[in-house]
Amino acid sequence: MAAPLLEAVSRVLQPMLPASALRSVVATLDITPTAEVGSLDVVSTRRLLDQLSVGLKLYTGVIARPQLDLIRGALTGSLHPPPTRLMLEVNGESDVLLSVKACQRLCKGFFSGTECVRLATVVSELTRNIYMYAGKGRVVLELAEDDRGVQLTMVASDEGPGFVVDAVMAKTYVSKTGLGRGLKGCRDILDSLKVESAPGRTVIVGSKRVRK
Amino acid sequence: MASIALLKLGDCLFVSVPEELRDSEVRDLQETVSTRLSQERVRGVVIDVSSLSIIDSFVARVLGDTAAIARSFGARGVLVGIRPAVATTLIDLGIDLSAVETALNLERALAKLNLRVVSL
Repeated sequence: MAAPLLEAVSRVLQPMLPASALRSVVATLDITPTAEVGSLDVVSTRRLLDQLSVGLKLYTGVIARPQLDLIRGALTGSLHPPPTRLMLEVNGESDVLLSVKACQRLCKGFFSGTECVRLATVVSELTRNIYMYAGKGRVVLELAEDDRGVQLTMVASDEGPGFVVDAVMAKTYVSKTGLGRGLKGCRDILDSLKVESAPGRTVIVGSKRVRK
Repeated sequence: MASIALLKLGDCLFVSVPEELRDSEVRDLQETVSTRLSQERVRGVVIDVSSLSIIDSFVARVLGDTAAIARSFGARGVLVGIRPAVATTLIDLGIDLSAVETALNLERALAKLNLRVVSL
C-alpha cells in the first residue's frame, strides 16, 4: 500500500535535523559535549539559544517563543544558569583592550547596543585607572541572571597608593589624565558604584541591571 | 603593533584611527601627526574615528590635544565619524569635546576646512 511521501520522509528526517543542528552549534560554541544540564553559564546558554534559533529557523520557518523557552528549560533544568565570570589580571596597557573586549562579549545580546558601549567605556576607565595609578590589579566582570533580569557587576581592585574618595567624587572634580568627570561619570552610567580606597587597597564595585 | 594610516592629499592630512588602539599607540598617533605637521604644508587634519567602538576619557583627551596641536601649527583639526553610541557615552561621562571641531563625514569635514583635495 502506498504511503504519503512527505509524511514518510519527514518522520525519518525530523529527529535527525535538529540533532545535527545542535551538534554543529555546540561545536562552534566551544561547549563540552558531555556538559550536564544546568552547567552552562548565562552567556553560553544565551549564545547556544541564539545559534539554535537561527539553525532551527532554517528548517521550521519561524521558531516561536514557547519553543525557545522549552529548549531553554531543557538546557538549564528550568533554573537560572550560573553566572558568567571573567577575571582579568591588569598589568599593562594592552589589558585595557582586553577588558573592553571581555565586557563587550559578556554584554552582547543582554544589553542594548548603546548600553554595551557605555558599559565597555566604564570598564575601560576602571582598567586604565588601575594600570596608570597602581601599576597592576585585577578586574572581575560577572553577568548573573535572576527572576527580575540580568545584572552586570564589575569589580576593579588594586593594591596601589589609593586616593581620597571624597575628593574624586566631589562635584567640582575634573580628571587630570583624562577628560571629564572620571569616576562620577562612570557612576552616572551605572546603577550603583561603590568606591573604597586606602593606601594599599582600592576596591571599586559597579553594577548595572536590565529588567526583563 | 598596528601602524596608523596617514594620508596626505593636497594640504590635508587624513588620519585613519585603527579599530584597536593601545594607549601608547594613541600617543604615537599624536606624535606622528605633529611631526608631519611640522615638516609639511598642512592646512587641515581630518581624524577618522569611525572604527573606534568606544572612546574613553583618555583617548578623547589625546584626540582633543592632537587637534590643539594642529592649531598651533596653523592647521585645523576635525574629528569625523563618531558613532552615535560613542557620542552619547562621551556626554554621559562628561567628556567635553566642544573644543574640537567635528564633522559628520569626510565630505563635510573638507567643506568645513574649505579644502579641495583634488583639483579638477
